[in-house]
Amino acid sequence: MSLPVDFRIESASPGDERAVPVGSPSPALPANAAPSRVAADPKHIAAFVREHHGFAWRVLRRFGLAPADADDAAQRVFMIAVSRLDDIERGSERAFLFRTAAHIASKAHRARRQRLDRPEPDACESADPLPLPDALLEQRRARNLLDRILSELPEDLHAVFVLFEIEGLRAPEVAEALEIPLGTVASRLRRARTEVTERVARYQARSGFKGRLP
Amino acid sequence: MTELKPWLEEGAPEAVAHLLDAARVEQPSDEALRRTLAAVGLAVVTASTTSAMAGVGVSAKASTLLGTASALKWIVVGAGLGAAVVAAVEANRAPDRPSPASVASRKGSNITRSSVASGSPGAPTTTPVDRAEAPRTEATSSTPEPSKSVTPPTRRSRASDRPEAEEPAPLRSAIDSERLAEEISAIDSANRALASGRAAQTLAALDDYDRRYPERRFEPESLFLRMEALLRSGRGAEARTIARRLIAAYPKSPQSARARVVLSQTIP
Repeated sequence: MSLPVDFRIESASPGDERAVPVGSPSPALPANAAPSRVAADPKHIAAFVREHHGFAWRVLRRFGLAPADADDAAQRVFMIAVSRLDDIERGSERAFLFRTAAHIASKAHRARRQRLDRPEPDACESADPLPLPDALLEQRRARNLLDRILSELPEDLHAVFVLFEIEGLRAPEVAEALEIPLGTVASRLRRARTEVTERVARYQARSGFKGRLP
Repeated sequence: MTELKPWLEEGAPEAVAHLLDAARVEQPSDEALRRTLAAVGLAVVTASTTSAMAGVGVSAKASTLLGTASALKWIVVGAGLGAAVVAAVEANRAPDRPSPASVASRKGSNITRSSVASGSPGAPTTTPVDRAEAPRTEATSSTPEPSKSVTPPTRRSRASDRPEAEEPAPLRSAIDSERLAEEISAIDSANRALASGRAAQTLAALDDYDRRYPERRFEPESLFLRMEALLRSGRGAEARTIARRLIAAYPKSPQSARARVVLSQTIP
């Protein structure tokens, strides 16, 4: 999976990763370099993480990571984000987190593909021995189907769809996150909706999926 | 340019709306959040805010009662127990986390798996928090019939190891919720062992659970796991005995449905 926007991770050392847009002048800092800015207030950091953790995690899930992998990836996303907290404009947090999450998810998929002896695990939520209430089971099935459909979408449509239809970002926020014009957001959204409708209909016809299409 | 509106507002097809709703309510576990906070150097903050419950993966943060799917089924079967959990953790609620646009914020406590949330390979996937519709309503409407495990702890006789001395009400509540958290963790350990194919370990965990928690608020789950572990160990006769016991004690529980299948399929 490649990123929908130009984005790079600077890594001074393993585990010390910073996400920056391509063209950003900031150099990679040595791991033991003194910080060039005052560390953010821990309360501010905690509030930032608590407020956006669910968003970042769901983005990772919608990029095809299994829940446990999304847990781990979310940690890396926020380690990067916190290292750049002072550079993130208020109101642009989700845009930054989305780009970071997309990159982390891409790396995670690439790493798994390179481990030839271990096939890529199903991102679906795994079975549980204890019987689930029907409502939860149905939700899980629905998410598994959605993730399958999203994986079939072109990357540009996938990103717009996840941000706008699932995470509820406004169109300008989506445009900022993906660094595309507002008009492009609208056109990609229309195409994504068409694609999703068609795919849902196909799956429905095949498997008797709950819910009706007109 | 006309402002774009979410598909759900514009009238997405029902099947699509179903998918979107399921995705929007999905939430990470509290354990995942705690680990992320720890990863950015905030472990002390999380330990202090979640108190003793943190050690067993039960969060005192406010969100839905319907935590992980595995915890949910326990709450569904023991609806009254679920209400007691809510009451026990209400005093320690933290502010809600924001949720996707169309999902109203929920209050309650997340009960998560403990060490399985570390994402270790081979362990069952940490099931994220599902912010379902009205948690209490769903829990009570899904419960087929009150069973022994439904009775709120306050109405049952306490375990024999509980001190006789009177304790202030909030402290009693905290102790009970802590013990409940431990009990959930114990059952969860057995569940994870079974999911990993370790039947002997499952049985040992359940023996330990029975010893430590005579009140056995999760007896249906305990019996179910024991029955499954015995089956996988090739001890069919013993599994059938447990199946009969499960059906007799909790005839309308989801676990009994599986027990009936066991009885019909295994050789006496």
